Order: sequence, then structure tokens, then C-alpha cells
Amino acid sequence: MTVGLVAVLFVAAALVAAGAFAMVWRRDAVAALAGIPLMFGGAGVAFAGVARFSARAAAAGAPPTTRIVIGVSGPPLGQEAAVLFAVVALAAVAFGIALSVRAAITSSPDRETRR
Amino acid sequence: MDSPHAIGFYVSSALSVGGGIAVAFLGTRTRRALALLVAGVGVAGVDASLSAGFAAAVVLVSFAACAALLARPDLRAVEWATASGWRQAGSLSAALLFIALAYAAYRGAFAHVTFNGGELGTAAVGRLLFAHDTLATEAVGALVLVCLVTVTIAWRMRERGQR
Repeated sequence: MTVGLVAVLFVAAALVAAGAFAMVWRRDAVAALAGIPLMFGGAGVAFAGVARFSARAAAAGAPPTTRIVIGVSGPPLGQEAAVLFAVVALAAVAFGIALSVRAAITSSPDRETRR
Repeated sequence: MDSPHAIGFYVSSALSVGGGIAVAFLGTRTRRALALLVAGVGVAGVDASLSAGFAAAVVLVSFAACAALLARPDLRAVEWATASGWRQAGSLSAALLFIALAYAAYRGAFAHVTFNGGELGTAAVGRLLFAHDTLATEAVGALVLVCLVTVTIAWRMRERGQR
């Protein structure tokens, strides 16, 4: 049993699609926000998979005159992207909740009667 | 990748995708938050089986925080444009997105190399985050700070309005 980059990208695609589905399916905007971390998580999985399996992919396609070092992976830029995506997902959810709280305030029936 | 890692990858994948679909379909807010947490455990497991242990830890914390934010019982539901046709078209678009991405992954020609970055890769990721891409890290940190301050102000305003 083994895992390749294609399997990782399939899982990433499924996560992104599940997040998009959750966002469009829920009528409640707060519930739809739960799709954001799924989509960012899927993107992060794809980046981590590329860092794991295809690091230095460009080196493999280099002209044959240059000496290619096989078996040395480059800096884990994909892992870095996954970390940043996770943090941005949290920020996006927090911002979305702030917007929805503000929308709930402005559409509150108490506020309407006060006006 | 050896067999235990591969089994961990497939189990985590099932958890993450199953949790993601459950997020879309479960009814109550608490259950959705729990499903999001399960999906987060799955995504973290996938990252960990891909030798990205540090990313896995950050993903787990991020999903847990998102679930905690979304599980608050005092959040009021905000309805948005909900024509049934648009929702179905959106769902169809999500399915098409999955098909397109899966097709691109299947048809792509990728070069494979041996990975020797270690299981966690904390030092290498730390060097990238705090030495190579410091500006990006600072920008994301500022973004998180602004968003958390915004949500705090919004909550304060609502509490003041309730009094």
C-alpha cells in the first residue's frame, strides 16, 4: 500500500469541493462560514503534498548537461503555505463572524422598534 | 511512504472528507462544530502523514478555534440569498469543481523525488517563516490580529445593544 501525489491531490480536491458545497448549501451565513477552513485546509493539503512528493520537480526536468542531485528535497515551501493557509482560514472565519454579528445587530427587531 | 503512513493517510482522508460533508448536512450548530473538529483532525492527520508535523499542529489548532467560534450558542442566524435554484446550481458547481481538480490531478505529469526533510520539519519551516518570508508571516499575523479585534468589537457592540 502506497500513497502518491495524485492521491493527495484527490483528497485536496475533495476537501475544497466539500468546503464549497458547505458554503453554498447552508442558508445560514454563520453555518456557511464552516466551509472556509475546509477549503483552506484542502489547499494546504495540496501544498504539503507537493512539498512531500514533488520537491525539486523542476530539477528533474533540467537539461541533461547539468548535474541533477536526486533525493534531495528543497525547502518545504508547501508546508509553509499550509501553515499560512490555516492561520488565514481562522482569520477569515473570525472576520465572517464579526460581519454576521454586525448584520444581526442592524437587523435586530429591538433596534427597529427603538428607531 | 511505508504502509503505516499510508494507512494513516487513508484513514485521515476519510475522516477529513466525511467530516467536511457532515459540516454541510448536520442540523445543529454544535454538531456542525463537532464535524468541523473531526475534519480538522483528519486534515491534521493527512498533513502529519505527509511529514508536515508542524503544519498539522497549526491546522489542528486553527480548526479547533474555528469550531469553537462557530459553536457559540449566542450567534444569531443570518439568512442570505437562498433561492433554491441558486443553491442547487452552487452544489452542482462544487461537484464540477471536484471533477475538474481531480481530472487535473490525474492527468498531471509530476516528477517524484525522495523526501528527506524529516517528520516534523519544524526547523526548516521556521527558517522559512521567520527568515526567508518574514514579510508574509508579519502580514498574516497582522491580518489575524485585525480580524480578532474586529470580532471582539462586534461582540462588544452587540452586548452593549442588549443591555
